[in-house]
Amino acid sequence: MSYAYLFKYIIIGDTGVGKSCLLLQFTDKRFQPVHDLTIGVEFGARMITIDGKQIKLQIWDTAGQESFRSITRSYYRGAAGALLVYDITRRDTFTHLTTWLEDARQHSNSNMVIMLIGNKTDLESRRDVKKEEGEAFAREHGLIFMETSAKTAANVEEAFINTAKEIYEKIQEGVFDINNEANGIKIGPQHSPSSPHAPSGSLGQQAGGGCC
Amino acid sequence: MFNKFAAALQHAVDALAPPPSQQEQFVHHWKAITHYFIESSMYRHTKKYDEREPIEATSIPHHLDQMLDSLHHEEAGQEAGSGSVPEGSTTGPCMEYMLRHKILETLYALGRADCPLGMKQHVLMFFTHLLSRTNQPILPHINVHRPVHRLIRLCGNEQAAPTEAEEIQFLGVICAKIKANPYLVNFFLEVPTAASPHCSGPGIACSLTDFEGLEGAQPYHPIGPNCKLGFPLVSSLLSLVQSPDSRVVIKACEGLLLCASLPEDMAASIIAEHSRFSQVLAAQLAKLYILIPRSMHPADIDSTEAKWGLDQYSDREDMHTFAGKRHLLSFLSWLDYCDQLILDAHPKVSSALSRSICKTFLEDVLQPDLLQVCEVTAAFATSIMTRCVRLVSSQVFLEHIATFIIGSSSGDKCPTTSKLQHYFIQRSNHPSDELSIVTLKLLEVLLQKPCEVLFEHLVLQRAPEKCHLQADMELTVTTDGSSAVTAIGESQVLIDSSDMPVSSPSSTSPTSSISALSEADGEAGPVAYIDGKEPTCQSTISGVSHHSQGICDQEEEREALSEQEDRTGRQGESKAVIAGDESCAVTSGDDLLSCEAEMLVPNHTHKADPIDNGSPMTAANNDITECDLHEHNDDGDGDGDDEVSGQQSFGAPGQADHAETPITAAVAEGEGHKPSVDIHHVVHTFLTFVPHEASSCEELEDSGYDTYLKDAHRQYKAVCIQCRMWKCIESHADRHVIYGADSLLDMLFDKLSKILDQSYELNLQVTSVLAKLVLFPHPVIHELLLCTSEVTPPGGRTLYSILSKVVKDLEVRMHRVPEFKQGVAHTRRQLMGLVPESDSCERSNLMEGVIVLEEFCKELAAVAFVKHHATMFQSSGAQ
Repeated sequence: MSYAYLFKYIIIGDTGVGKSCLLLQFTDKRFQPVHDLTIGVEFGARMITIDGKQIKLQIWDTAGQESFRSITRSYYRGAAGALLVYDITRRDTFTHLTTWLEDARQHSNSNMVIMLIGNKTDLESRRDVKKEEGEAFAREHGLIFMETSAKTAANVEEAFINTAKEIYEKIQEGVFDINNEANGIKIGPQHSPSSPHAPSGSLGQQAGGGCC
Repeated sequence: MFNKFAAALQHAVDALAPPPSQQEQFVHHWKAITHYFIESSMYRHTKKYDEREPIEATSIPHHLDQMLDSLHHEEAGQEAGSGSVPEGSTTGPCMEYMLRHKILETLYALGRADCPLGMKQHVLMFFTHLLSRTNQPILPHINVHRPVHRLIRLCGNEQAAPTEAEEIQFLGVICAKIKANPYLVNFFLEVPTAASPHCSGPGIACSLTDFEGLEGAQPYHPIGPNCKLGFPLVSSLLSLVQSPDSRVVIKACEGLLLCASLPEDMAASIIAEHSRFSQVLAAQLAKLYILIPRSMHPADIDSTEAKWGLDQYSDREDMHTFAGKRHLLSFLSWLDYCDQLILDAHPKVSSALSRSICKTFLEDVLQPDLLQVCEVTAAFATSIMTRCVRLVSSQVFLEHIATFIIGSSSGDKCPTTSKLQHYFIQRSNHPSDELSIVTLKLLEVLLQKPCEVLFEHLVLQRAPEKCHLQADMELTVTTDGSSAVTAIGESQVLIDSSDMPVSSPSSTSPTSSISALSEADGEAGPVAYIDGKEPTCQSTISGVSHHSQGICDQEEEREALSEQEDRTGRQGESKAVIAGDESCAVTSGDDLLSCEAEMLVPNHTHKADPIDNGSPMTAANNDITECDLHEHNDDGDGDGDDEVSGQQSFGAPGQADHAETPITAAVAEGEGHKPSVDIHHVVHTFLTFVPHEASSCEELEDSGYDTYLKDAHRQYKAVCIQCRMWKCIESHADRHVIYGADSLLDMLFDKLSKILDQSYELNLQVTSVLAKLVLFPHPVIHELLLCTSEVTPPGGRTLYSILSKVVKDLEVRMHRVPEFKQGVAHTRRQLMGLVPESDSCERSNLMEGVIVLEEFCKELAAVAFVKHHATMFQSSGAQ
């Protein structure tokens, strides 16, 4: 299927917070309570529509375990969006957010849109992290925030789509260099500029802006 | 009849007795599986048994699932019971039964036989789920790791096997388990029995000690003393790396990355020396390179980005961009993967892989192409080489590449005899512009890598007898430029308008306008320094103003001043914002102000030009202020110490009127020269190098000098980081340089002297390489490229002497061309895309050359200025 844009996402966060379940809920609309640990990186894709444009989301679901950091890090590069997930019933997953965020900021491009997600709202009775805390963390670090439940599908669509909207807006504002695929954005086949690699205009810029 | 009775009895018992325990269920399902095999062997020779019956037709998958469920529930129950401490939970009865009865051994045997058809797949899945879902450490148990190890050996035996997906999942779990507990790797290494077995960590094994058959003390798989060392996990992964399924390949890559980065020495040695690891990965790189079409354009190669990882490219997309992009992407992502591996892997593995890539890919495959007479192939290979160098981020890999280019670097004194380095330098002079440009581009990229041997061999070819620079001609260059540059940037921040003496009446003459400007920037101390200590500098500048612009309008001066005041006001606000933050930030801002004032001096020289508009400069500086404000906040903690000491040496703002501030003392004592005088002279020289009649930039709104200043500041900072640890920079000892017929500098000087006759593209590339070189904080570089002394070192040329000759030549030639100035201005508009090219006459190398020359001189001025300030800060910091 053709698309106008392709956005690459990664899902990060501690092990067991529900990253794979969020992805499964978003791509397959189902919930699987028991599943194997994610080894390395898994992959999912879905089409969405924003502003009348078909957008393909290519989502990399990463392993949360520490021992996989060196692998997940290589996926940060080249991602346009990240879902940073914690488990509202486990405070330690919330306290580790800072480490995750540092990791993400260090290894990704600076424009990457990060959405903070407090997952497992279906387990309200076991809640250990208040919604306000999540909001405060997101505000402090300039993230978008949402609470979801991969089990009941509450807010799952919204989380993925809102992230895409934010990226889309950034493209409209010209923040993302969409011709650089290292930014995690690809223009769909039919939208390719006529000749993306022609040396058009670059000479003039070089003369004015420095031979560097 | 009897059966019915038994069933009825069972029902009655079920109704009365409690439901079967977890273990009973587990045993029941296992018995059901074994029963199938007993039965099938009984009926083997009868018609009832069909050998090719697929496993899906049997109940085996169901029973295996149930067994896993039982194990899972058992552990979940125990974790809940023991307060969810998985490590400490004891082994439950199901697990105990499984281990005691060597169920995994049996399953392995069934899987190997793949009977019934598809059994192997289900056994792999069983192992995968078991290891992945079980939290307690079961791998150390011999009845787990032995069958697991055997099963590993079954994986990857067949190309494109139907079980590939399950195999890679299974191997992935093992890798994950090993990575989490690296000592586990010893269970999966094969070493001759003679090797003394290491004892595995007893802590993990002790929870299982109640089992018979625990042999944790013998982790290595004993094999005959004649057998080779082996790591079957890696061998199996290497087989799967060649799978046609890209998902399998990527998983195998991940597995290899985990194995290669294990801290265990034994595992690393086996991977590096006794496995096909390096050869397979390097051969794959060579294979992918060969597939790229040679006709690919260098610009396409340069602009394509690729990262390894799950990604899908289709031939259809290929059609929309350029032919062969998919192949190029595959090659680049594989190279990126190798680079990541080298970055993360155990040092032994890193160096083995780097070596192997150099041999198999660079030497055997790429080098013949690089040396090709065919221009297309040579340009292609050179562009690929450039792209590779640009991509590589691991130091080990980079050093191997450097060795490939400069020859073996055994610290020999004589210039290297490597073919490639000299070949590249010579070929930069190739009659084909395209080939020259791609080769220059490669040299440029090489110079940007944090690799000292590359810099030393390419730039500083040691030859003590040849060209000894005179020490008194040198400008000092900072040894730790990075912090000094940061300081410059930070000095832009935080200006307190309240401290500022107002000096409006003096703003009528160009000379006093400088001091007014400086004062308007809010710091009296440095102003005193500039005014009081550097009279020469002032007169130079005022001279410039008079000379180049004639009389400055009084109104304009006022405008400029009021703009400065505006700006100061804004900065005052920014201080207020930060003041609340941390006192450290504020104090450090105050003491670093002097540069701000100085920074403006050359700006002003330029800005006072009647045609030039003042506002872009102000805006540009505000940009710097803002971005550095950020940096400052980020770096605040780390740099605190330096800044405080800096402040002490500067004195508080209150002492502003004393001309004898410590910084001036530092400058005076410094290296026995007067850098301030020099720098203004240097900046002025470069800015006015191109004769007025040939200059075209003033026709346009923005001269671009401010952009160059900003860029130079940023780039110099990056260069200082790049060569932070370099001995040749730190020691300053090596001041001997040759630029004989085959040196990089000599080649660049030759190219630059032809700037008026060469193509625009080539000129851009030549000046670009020189601009990279000029940034290095090395005395030789400074001497040869930035010194504007008329005295050239014996036997050598300097950039200044080359440029002087070019300008002399230009002065002769421009008089032969009618309306030269208009022509240049028109060409500039063309190059900037302001005038459609088709409308105009043919592009002339002379006109374009003048424009490149003018821009290059501005860039040199900016770099000289930025480097000078780094030096100033360095010497003030040393006080």
